[in-house]
Parts: sequence; structure tokens; C-alpha cells
Amino acid sequence: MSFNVLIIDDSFSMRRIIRRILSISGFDLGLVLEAANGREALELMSENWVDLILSDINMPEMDGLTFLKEVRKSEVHKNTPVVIITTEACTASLNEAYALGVRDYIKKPFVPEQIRDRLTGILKGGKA
Amino acid sequence: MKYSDQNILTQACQELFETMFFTFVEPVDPQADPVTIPDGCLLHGKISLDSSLEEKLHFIAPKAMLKNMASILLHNDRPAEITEAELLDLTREITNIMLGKALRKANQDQTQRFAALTAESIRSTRDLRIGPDCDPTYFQTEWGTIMLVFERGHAGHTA
Repeated sequence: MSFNVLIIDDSFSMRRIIRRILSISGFDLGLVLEAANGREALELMSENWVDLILSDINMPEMDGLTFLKEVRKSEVHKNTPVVIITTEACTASLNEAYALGVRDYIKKPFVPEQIRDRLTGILKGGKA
Repeated sequence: MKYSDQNILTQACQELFETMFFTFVEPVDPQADPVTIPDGCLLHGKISLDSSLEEKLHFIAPKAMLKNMASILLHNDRPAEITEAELLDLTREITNIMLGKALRKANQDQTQRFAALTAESIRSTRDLRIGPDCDPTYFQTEWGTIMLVFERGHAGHTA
């Protein structure tokens, strides 16, 4: 059973790094979608089923927290697991993200094993 | 200890390069060993703290170094395929991560938000318009010297 993953980060270097880590980590991946902000991500989610969202917080146009609130309002996607991958050092933002139901938080910089290990449990838990 | 403390910035820089790029950067004591950064192709990242736009972290590194790192991370060791846009993007991200790491190390991460993240190519550190009384922190690498500068607000002197 393959999983569709959505990577949201305004840095395309970071999106590509995460994509590469996913591809070498042995996950059974279906679509790997990329968005530069929350608005782009919502557009992609209106056309594609997503099993896991990896999102930054600090982004232009629509930040990660605003995006998360929109996702939680959606009948289709409200239970989709979200993992925050961010430099964001503001504890209040992280607390708000957890209150919105994010599954985990990975700090940048990270090593590939951190991504692999943290996502393994979530993906093994099955599709949302 | 504050995030702008040179020890904190030194640790943040070393750990970032070790974690992300498996590269060891050695701090240089400019009093014991005067540092000159030759003119050439340099990349300059700059980030402000949202709570006080007068405070900025500057990150300056040789373009060759970032090109090498980008090729490892993004293009499976094909440096020739790295574009200027990719280098500037990576420079912004490194600067962003460096400040976040310094804030966490100094336990000053409760309320700080970042803003105004930029990157540009420069030919010389003389092109930087950084206020006076800023002590740069230098690191030696096999590609040349990295410079970090934490700037406190000096109206009229900011880049």
C-alpha cells in the first residue's frame, strides 16, 4: 500500500532534501507533492489524496499554522497526519501546532535518520 | 548567555554544517591569526528578528563551498547543474536555520519570530553595509572562510 506525501516549505532546497530522504528511506511512496506555502498546498489537496503532510511553519502567503487550521476544517482531510519540520524557534507557535493536532515536530537541521524514524511509526499506523 | 554571543553562534554554525553537510568548520581567532577574505564569489544571507528589526544575523560564505554542498544535497554530485537561484535559496535556508539553532541554544526561543530573510551574491565583504561595533566570527573551511556577523541596530548603516 503506497502513501501520498505532501511537502510544504518555501525553500525548494529543503523540499528537495526532504523528498530525497523519503526516497532513500524505504517507504512505499506513491505521489510526493510539493508546495511552497499553505495556499499552494490546499490547491494540491483539492485535487489529490494525501496520506501525510510535512510542513514548515514560517512561509509567505499562507503560513503553516493557518494552513493547518484550514486542513482541520476540511471534512476530507481533517484527520490527515501532519508533521512539522521547521526552524521556527517560537514555542508559542509550536504549542499552537500541537493544539491543532500535529503528530510530531522535527527541528532543522535534521539528519535523514530522524525523518525516517519519526515517519516510520506514523506511516506504519496506516492510512488516515 | 544570549543568542548573539560568539560562543553560541560558533556552536550553532559548527553543528549546522556537521549535521547537514558532514563538514567540519574550524573557528578562527582573528586576534591570533588575522583573517582576510579575498574578493571573489561570495554569498551573503541575512535574517532579522521580528521582535526587533534592528537585529540581524549575516552569514557570508564562498560560493564554491555552497555549490559543493548543494550538489551533494540536491543533484547527486553534479555541481555544474546547480543554478544561482538554488544557491541563494540554500544560503537563505542556512541563515534561517543558524539563527533558530542559536536561539534554541541560548534558550531564548519562547517568543522570537524571524523576518526579512534575504540572500545575494557579493564580490567582497566590503560590499556589506554592516553597522560598526560588530565582531565577526570566522570559520576556516577547505573552500575558504565563512564569516558570521551579528548586527545590532545602527540606523543608516544597515544593509
